[in-house]
Amino acid sequence: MPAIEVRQLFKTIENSASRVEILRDVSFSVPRGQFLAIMGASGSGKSTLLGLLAGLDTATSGAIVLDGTDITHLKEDALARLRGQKIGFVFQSYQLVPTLTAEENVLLPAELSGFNGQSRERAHALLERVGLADRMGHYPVQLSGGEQQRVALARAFMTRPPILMADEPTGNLDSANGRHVLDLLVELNREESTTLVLVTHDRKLAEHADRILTLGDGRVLSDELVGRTVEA
Amino acid sequence: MFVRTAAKIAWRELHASPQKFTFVILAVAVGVAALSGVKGFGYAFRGMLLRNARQLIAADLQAQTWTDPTSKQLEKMAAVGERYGAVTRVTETVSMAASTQGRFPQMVAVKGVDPNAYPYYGKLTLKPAQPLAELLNEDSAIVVTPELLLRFKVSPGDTMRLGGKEFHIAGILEAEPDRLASGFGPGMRVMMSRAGLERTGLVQFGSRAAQRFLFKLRPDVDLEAVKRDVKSAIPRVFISDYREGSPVVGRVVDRTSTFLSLVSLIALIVGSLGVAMAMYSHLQQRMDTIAVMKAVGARAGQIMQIYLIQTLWLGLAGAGIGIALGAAVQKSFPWLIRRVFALLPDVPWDWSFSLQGMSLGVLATLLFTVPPLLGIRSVRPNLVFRRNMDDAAQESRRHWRDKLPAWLGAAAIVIGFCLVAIWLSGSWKMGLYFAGGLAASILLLTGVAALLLRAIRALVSASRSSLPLAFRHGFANLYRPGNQARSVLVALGIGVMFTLTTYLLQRTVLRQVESEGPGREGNLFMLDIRKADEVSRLVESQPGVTGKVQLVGYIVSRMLEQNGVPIERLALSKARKDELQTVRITSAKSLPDGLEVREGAWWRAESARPQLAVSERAQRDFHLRLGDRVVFQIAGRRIEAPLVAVFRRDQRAPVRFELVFPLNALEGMPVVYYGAAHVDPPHIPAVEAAIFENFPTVTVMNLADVLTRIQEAVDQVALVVRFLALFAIAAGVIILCSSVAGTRYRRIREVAVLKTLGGTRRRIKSIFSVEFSILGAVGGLVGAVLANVFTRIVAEKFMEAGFEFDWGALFLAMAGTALLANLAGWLASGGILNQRPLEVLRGE
Ligand SMILES: Nc1ncnc2c1ncn2[C@@H]1O[C@H](COP(=O)(O)OP(=O)(O)O)[C@@H](O)[C@H]1O
Ligand SMILES: [Mg+2]
Repeated sequence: MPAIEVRQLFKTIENSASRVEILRDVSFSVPRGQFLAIMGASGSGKSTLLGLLAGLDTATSGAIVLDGTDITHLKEDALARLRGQKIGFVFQSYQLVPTLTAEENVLLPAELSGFNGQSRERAHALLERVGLADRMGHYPVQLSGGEQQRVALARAFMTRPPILMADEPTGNLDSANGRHVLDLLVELNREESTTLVLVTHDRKLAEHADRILTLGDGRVLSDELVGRTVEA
Repeated sequence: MFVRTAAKIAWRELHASPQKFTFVILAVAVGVAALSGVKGFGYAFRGMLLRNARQLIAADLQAQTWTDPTSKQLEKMAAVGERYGAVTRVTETVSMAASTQGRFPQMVAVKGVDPNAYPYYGKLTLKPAQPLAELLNEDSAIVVTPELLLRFKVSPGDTMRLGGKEFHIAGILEAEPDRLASGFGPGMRVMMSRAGLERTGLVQFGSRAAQRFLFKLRPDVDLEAVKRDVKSAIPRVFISDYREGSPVVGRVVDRTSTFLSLVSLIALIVGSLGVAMAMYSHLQQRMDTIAVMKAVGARAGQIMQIYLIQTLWLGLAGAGIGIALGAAVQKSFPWLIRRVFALLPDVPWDWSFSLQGMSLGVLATLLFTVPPLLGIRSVRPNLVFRRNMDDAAQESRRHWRDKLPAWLGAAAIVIGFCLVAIWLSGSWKMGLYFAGGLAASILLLTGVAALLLRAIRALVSASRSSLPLAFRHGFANLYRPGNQARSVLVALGIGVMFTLTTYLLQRTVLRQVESEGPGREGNLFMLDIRKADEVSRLVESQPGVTGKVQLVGYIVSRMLEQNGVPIERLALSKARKDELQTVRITSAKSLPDGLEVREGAWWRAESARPQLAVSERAQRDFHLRLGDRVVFQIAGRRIEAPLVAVFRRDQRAPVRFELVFPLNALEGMPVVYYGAAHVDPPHIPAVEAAIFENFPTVTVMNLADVLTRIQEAVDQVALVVRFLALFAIAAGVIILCSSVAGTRYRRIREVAVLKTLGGTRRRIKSIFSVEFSILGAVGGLVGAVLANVFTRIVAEKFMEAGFEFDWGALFLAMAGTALLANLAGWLASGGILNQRPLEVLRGE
């Protein structure tokens, strides 16, 4: 059973004036443990696709199966619960909750999904892993961009999700900090053996991946395993 | 001109976040509504009184006195009437009455008129619709109000007994123009001819009856001349004419509307506080825009123009809506005070206060926006280069605080509202007291709110890990940037404080009346007693009556001389000399309970020699010394009495002893007695009936009725005050809405993040609910604590009553405000739970 399976996915946005086809007939499947990079020019539909994969939005047609569960017709709360169990998410702009400390931000997904067990120990371990052991009680405004994104990474891995999605996680960072965050992401991914879907438009970052899927104008332009090319 | 550009930018911003500004407008509207409603009603009422002035006194001019005029005075008065037009006398008093079928008497107001002359103006509504003179063609005929028919279960044609005589009901008195003129209340009323009133024997020397002389004047008559002549006919009369409206009612309305408009001003201030807060957080969110504008060369003055224009528009819109709402308030006022003014003509809608209300609303809005607007000057363009606007906002906030402009702004607010309060109350002293009190309350509330917030924060961070998520997160949200938790607390607190204070005071008053009022003396009160011994004997012999009946006698007299010097030549103020024209002399044998002799000595119980004892207060007021010889005119006789004792009165003594004579010294004079008896409640009606049977002119009231009456009066006042205090709460709630709406964008993003991390809507809902509940509960707590403190101060300082901290009210206030805050919070965050996360998070 693949971690992610996408079949004939369409996303169309209509408002009174216009009709935009953001995704057209996208199909692919991601086996467990794979590191998939999604590339494409700005506006090609990468974020939309990732959002649909995480159930943050609903597709116009087509199906998405996550870890054996068809999420296409799930209700809002069921989707939230599923995300809590199966998906970790990293945003380009961190999206930490400003009123909570770093530690509390990391704990948040566990608490929201009723995850029990050694959550506090795990949160501490993760924060230590990303090099912020001494910043646990700090609020987001007290942290730099790179530090905030590392907290966001720790948060994404908190509930040991089988799938991790990241939308240009280094987009807001300078190259040194971006490098550090990406290394951490890749290492954590390996340690936790999650399936990783990384959206980026940076060819260099994508080269760490097992496979690169390129979008253009809402379609899959190419799908290559690093080293050998597969027809789209 | 930059103004047009500024206006354009201002408009664009208003347009961009309609929700936030809707609440700002509403906050102003609520304040203006309360104020213009109350003041407008006062104006309208005053105007109505003036327009109907002749009807309300049923004459061109009236002269009223509370003493029985002598026949010589009556002759003089008749002569004055003849000289200028016509005069007629109206006498009003109270009496017990009963129907011939029913045994049990009740108190009614009795009015004796000359049916051929009365009323000069206005119309009596009678059923059958015949002239009053025809209905009252015999001296045994009466007309009565519908309420009396209802309460006595009688109908026209039936017979009533008053003062031991029988009267037949000739018709129904549905309305009388001058009903409020003499101050006898609404309800059960009887009108009869003067001859009929004679027959009852109710009005004798010393009775409590209002005598009104109504004048119909020829058109060319000089009012001042009439007044002069009236005064020389009867020296101490209270004169009012058609130019003044009904002065007594007018004064009551003026005083009431002043008091109530100050209460409403609180609502306006709370509302404007909301505006200030909204503008403050709005400006904070606009900080980047402001910095960019400055970076491209805009001057601080120009930017301030933009936001000044914006504030002005908001103020105008709010005040406009407020005036419309105020019309509704004004309309509902007659309903609120319907018991007192039930039979007045309709009070028409009056625009006169609307413009003033409008300017007040705009002024209040502008005043409160001064400090945040001045803060614009200190925004530095280099903020543009900061990444995180939260940082920028925080830093500039610190900056604002330390700056002089903020203090200047605060001073402007305080002075501005002082002036408004002075203008509204028409008195420097009252305005300043009010403004000072309010400023102190707001400061106190702000301080308490800040302390509480800090305490909660400390408590929560200490016990953070052990709290459930919703609580931890909800608490944390209170400190969200742009979340004006403190202002919300102050606003809610003020509203709760006022509402609860009126409630607690109302209860304290009633409880005091019950426990320490007349109840200690007995539960059946008797007034207008002439034959003291016989009445005592009768009452004491009735079944159910326990103990002795204590009667105190008094007689109204005039003080003439002190040590041979006529009163007119004493070094006393005019007011004091006037007081000496009708002094009440109380009689006593031995020293009454509750009095303590401070100087001199009390007389022997049986002493019949005229001598005087006075209270310390009377001694001070009239400069009396032990041994002074004081001459009184009592019932036409000159009596000289030496001052033999000065006493101190226990504040809670039931009888107001001021000047006391030995009982036996008043032997043979028309002394009127009053007092109380302890009666087993089930026996009260029978005792009342027995007194009525034997002494029909004695007025009897039982404690339960008196308490009910007091309660009704207190409730009436409290209802109106609470109604207006509710506007302050409404303003608080709107401020909460505005604060929630102002942080809407943050909240939406947070919901999206929480959903992405696996939060279900229920989970997220509980987080926000905790936040709103805490705000509400803490606001309620602060308000309730202060209300308890205030009530305690008022109760102990001004009412000499005890007051226990009311925990029930505290918890109720907390729960109620928490509920209200949830309603408001969720109303203002409508729809944020249903946003799709991706919509929100994209494009960050
Ligand atoms: N709500 C929307 N309404 C209209 N167009 C949209 C909306 N959301 C996304 N788009 C358009 O869809 C396209 C794909 O957007 P996105 O998935 O964010 O691309 P990417 O992440 O690859 O830069 C863009 O052209 C964007 O303008
Ligand atoms: Mg994107």
